[in-house]
Parts: sequence; C-alpha cells; structure tokens
Amino acid sequence: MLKGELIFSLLIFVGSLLLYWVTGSFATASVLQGGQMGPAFWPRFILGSIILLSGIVSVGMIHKIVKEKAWGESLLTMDRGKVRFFAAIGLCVAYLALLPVLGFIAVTPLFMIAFMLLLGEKSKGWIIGVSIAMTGIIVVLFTKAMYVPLPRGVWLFREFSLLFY
Amino acid sequence: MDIWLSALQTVFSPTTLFFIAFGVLLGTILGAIPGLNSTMGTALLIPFTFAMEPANGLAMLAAVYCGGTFGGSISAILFNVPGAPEAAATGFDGYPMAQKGQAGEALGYAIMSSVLGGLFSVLVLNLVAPQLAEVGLTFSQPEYFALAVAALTLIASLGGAGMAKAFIAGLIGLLLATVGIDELTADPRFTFGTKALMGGINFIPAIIGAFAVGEILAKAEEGSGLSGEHLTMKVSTKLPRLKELLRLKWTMLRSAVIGTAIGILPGVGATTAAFIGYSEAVRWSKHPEKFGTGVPEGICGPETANNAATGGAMVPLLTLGIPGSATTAVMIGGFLVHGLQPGPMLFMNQPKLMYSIFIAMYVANIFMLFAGLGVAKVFANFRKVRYSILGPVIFIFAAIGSFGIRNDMTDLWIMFVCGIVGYFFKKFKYPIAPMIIGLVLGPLTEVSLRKGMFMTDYELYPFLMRPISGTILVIAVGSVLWNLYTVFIKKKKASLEEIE
Repeated sequence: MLKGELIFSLLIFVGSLLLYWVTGSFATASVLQGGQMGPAFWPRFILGSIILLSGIVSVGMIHKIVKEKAWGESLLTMDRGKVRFFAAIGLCVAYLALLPVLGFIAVTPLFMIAFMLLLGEKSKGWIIGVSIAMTGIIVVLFTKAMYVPLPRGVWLFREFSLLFY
Repeated sequence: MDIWLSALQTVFSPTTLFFIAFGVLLGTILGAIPGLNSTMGTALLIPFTFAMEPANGLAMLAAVYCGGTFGGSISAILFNVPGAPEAAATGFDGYPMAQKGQAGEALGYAIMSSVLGGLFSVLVLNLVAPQLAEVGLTFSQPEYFALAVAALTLIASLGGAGMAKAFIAGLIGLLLATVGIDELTADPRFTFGTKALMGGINFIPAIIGAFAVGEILAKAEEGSGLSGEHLTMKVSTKLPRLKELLRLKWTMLRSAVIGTAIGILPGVGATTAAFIGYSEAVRWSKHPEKFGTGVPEGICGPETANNAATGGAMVPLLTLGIPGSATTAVMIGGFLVHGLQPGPMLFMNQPKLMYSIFIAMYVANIFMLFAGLGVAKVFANFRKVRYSILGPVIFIFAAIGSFGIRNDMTDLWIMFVCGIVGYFFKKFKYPIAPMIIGLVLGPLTEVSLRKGMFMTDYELYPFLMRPISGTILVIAVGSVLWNLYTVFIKKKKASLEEIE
C-alpha cells in the first residue's frame, strides 16, 4: 500500500507541475490592471500549494518506506478483487459511451444485468425484474411526470426510444 | 392583529392545509430522488397555482421549497448520494452513521434539525425581515471572501493527523472549480480546447461521483460481504430525545443563525449555508477529529443551516423582490401569475397574503416532520436490498442525477472520473470531503477575492479593516493556527510517550 500511496502523491505532484505549465497559455490571454490577478493568478496559487504539499507528502512517504523497509505488495499482482474493479470500470465506461448511441431505455437494463452479475448476484428473477422495473420507473418518473429528458440514442434506437418518451 | 387572525384563518382552512401538506410531501420526495429537486417541482407547479387562491398557491410553493431542501438528506444518509446539493454536507457524517447501523438515528437528527432550522428562520423572517434584508445588501466582496475562507478553514480540522493530505484534497477541489470560462475575463481555463469543459465542472456530478461511484467501485473490488450485516437490519427513523437535542442546542442554534444569514445573501444559497454550518460545527466542537466518522453534530450542523436558509432566502424575496436562491427566483413566477410583484409594496398592499405565507411556512416546517418520517421510512426499505442489486440501481440514479442538471453527457463523465478519484482518495487515505468543500466554495472564494482586490485597489488590508470581514477572517485564521497547534502538541505528546 505504501508504494501505491507514494505513486499517487507523485502523480499529483507531476500532474500539478504540468498544469502549472498549462497556466502559461491563459496568463497572457488577458491582463487586468498591470497584470495583477488575471485568470492565471488563482490557479497558479492553488497549483503552487499542491506542488509544495504533495512534495512534502512524497518525501515523507519515501522516508517512511526506507525507515520501515516495507514496500508493500506489488501493484501488478492481479487478484480477483482487482479484476472485478477493472471490470466494473469497463462496464461503466461502456455504459456511458453507449448511452448517447443506444439511448437510456435500450442500454440501461443490459448494464444493470451485467453489473449485478459482476457483483455476484445469483437470483435470475431479481436480476431481470429489477433491471426492467427500474428502467421503466425512471422513464415514467423522469420523462412523463417531471419532463426531464433522458438520452434517446440515434438512428433505429432513437425511433425505439420515441415509442416510450 | 386583525391581519394576523385573518391570515391564521386562511392558512388553517382545510384546503390550504391540504395544499401545504401536499407541497411538503412532494418537495421531500423530489428532494430525495437524485436528479429531481424542489426548484423543478416549484416550476412545474406554478401553472397549477394559477387557478388557486394566491394564498393557497404561494403556500404550496413555499412548502415544496421547505420539503425539497430537507428531502436531499434522506438519500445522502442512506446511500451516500445527495438528492439535492444542499444535502451533500449532511452525507459526510450521515452516511458513516448509517454504515455503523444507525441510519434511523441519523435520519431522525436530520429531520429534527431541518424542522428546527426552518422554524427558526421563519421566526426571524417574521420579526425582522426588512431590517435583515438591508443588512444583507451591505455585504460586499470582502465579506463574501471572508465567509468562504472561514468555511475553507474547516479543511484543517478534517484532516486530523493527515492535515497535508486534507489540504491537498481541498486544493484539488479549488482547482477543479477553476475549470471553464473565467467569470471575470471570459478566458477559458483548463479546457484543453474542448467545448465540453467550457461550462466548468458542476459540483453535483462531482459530489455524486466522489461519494457514490467511488463507493460502488470499492464494493465491486471487495466482492464478498456485499450484503453486510447493517444492510439487512431494519431501519426505523428514531427522532432524537429532548436530552439529545439539548446536547446539540448550540450546534443547532449556531447553524440556524448561519443558515438564515446566508440565505438572505443573494446568490449564495442553502448549499454554501450547509457547508459553513458544518464547518462551524467542526470548529466549535471539542472533538473535531470525530467528524466524518458519523457523529450527530455532523448532521445537525449542515441540516439546520440548509433549512434555515430557506426562510432566509425568502427575506430578500418578500421585502425587496430580490430572490435569495434558485427556487425563490422561480417562485417570483408564482407571484406574477397572480398579478403580484414581490417587494416592499406587497407588504403594504397585501399584508394578509404576506402573513399567510409566513404562517404557511411555520405549518410547512411542522408538516415536514411527518412527511420526513414517512418518506424516510419508504426509502430506508431500500437499504435492506442486497448491495449486488442496490449498487447498480444507485449507479443509475447517480447517472441520471448528474445528467439531469444540464442534460449534458459531459456531466456523466465528470461523475465517473470523480468516482475513480474518490476511490483512490479512499484507498490512499485522502479525505474526500475537503475536495468537495473546495469545489463548492471555489468560485465564491476566487471571484470575491479578485473582485474585492479590484475594489480595494489591490490592497489586502481593507479586507481586515472592514468590521464584518475582518472579524470573520481573524476567527478563521485563528482557528487554523489553533488546529495546527493542537496537532503539533498531540504529536509531541505521542513521541514523548514512545520514548518513555
């Protein structure tokens, strides 16, 4: 865990340095009264503070690792938990990417079924029932009762969504 | 006196009471469902009020507003998904309390604080509305900046021993708030040439992502134990006893005053009030290190403040015709459909109507107790569902809640990315709450600082010389120094004990 913590704080450190460099592009875009407090002032102040603090945290972590001689487990080891974690991320990415293409009503039940199976749900009745019922409830509640639009998708999927909302 | 009696007669007629009860119930339900809110409910109900008596219609709209502000805390406590932004701070301690198997108690504290906060603010609205509205209008950029800084200093208290990590999290939140078009110069910042980020990072998807999606990803990794013991327990809302309420009296009173005062300020609103209420609850607590682990003060602080802000926001609306929040801005429409113009003349021309609205708000806050208990009972049943089923359902509501804000897919991606950030924050012991506080208060802090500096010709000392901003800033800086001192003393004591 220590190794992961160190990498995370180093990532914040390096990311902040890069973003500090990016602020150079909007510092010159506009200047207020002698260049004071333009659009780059506040982000630079924040990034400078993050760089300083993440540097301190990283040095502290290195010191701790050297002192305790404990690097923790390898980050590349793939146990079942990590596989499930990455699968969950993959599912969420797929859902968000497909939502504007297939529309809410077509993609949501499929996503819910896949996610429930991933989380270890075994009851087929619950999986199918909840997926369909929840999609239906959300469609009725949001589009019919509260007039909140949901993604309809494109092409044939749009026609399909238009049958319901 | 005659006007009061006449107003009482109007409000306590069965029809008006029915509309108030309906408004509170509807507001609470809308508030509890992520993606729907009281502003939306108020807007949808305005056309229906056209056919009603003005007193009935406006009482119902005020009731929706009161109920909606509370409702968000139900889903924040039970599922870590705030139904409304003003409930985000309630989840900081509400959800950990629910995880400890005390969801009923957490809901009870939230309901009671909301009712008392709401009643307090209506009382203030009743007694000194015009005077307060004038004071509110004297607030300028230095005062706004001081308020924002005071709330941000809470981060120092939330970090405990890992203060550096808490500050990093808070700064990341402040940085995220700078994404998009700069409010003062219209320059794009950190948009990387994409149109999607021009509108900035809305804090609602970020909150939903960091808390709810982060939790779902962590649970997915855990795999086993998805139906933990506390999830199968029956949740019944338990209102706090008088003894417990008395123990929290100062937290609630402080938050009620803060909420009412912030509600009066145009454009600040209940969300900021809740965060400042939480921050002050931490600041004045004898055990600030316990916040975030599920303590009643962490629920009462923000929840009293956000409901007190509802009454506060009505002050400038009714006395000056200036809305103090998004919902009160929509409520102007409710007045206009009846040919009424909110403002000082309304007090002179329609005193009975004004007093009817005041009384309706008292009644609405009392009804909220029953509506809160009922809606919380229904929502609490969902906690009995296995996480392997509940997790995906929460994700869908989180996604729709994020999408519903601007009907923009970008918000969904922001929610998801913040979910991953939330997961890693949790894993590597970075507190998430400071990031959210930074994101919520970032725009207010930056804009008030830059505008204030422009006003004072780039001199910082006028910020300290103005009585209100100076006092707030001194207290805020003093509390950070005190926190640093206590952490230093604790570490010194621990190292001495180690040597011994």
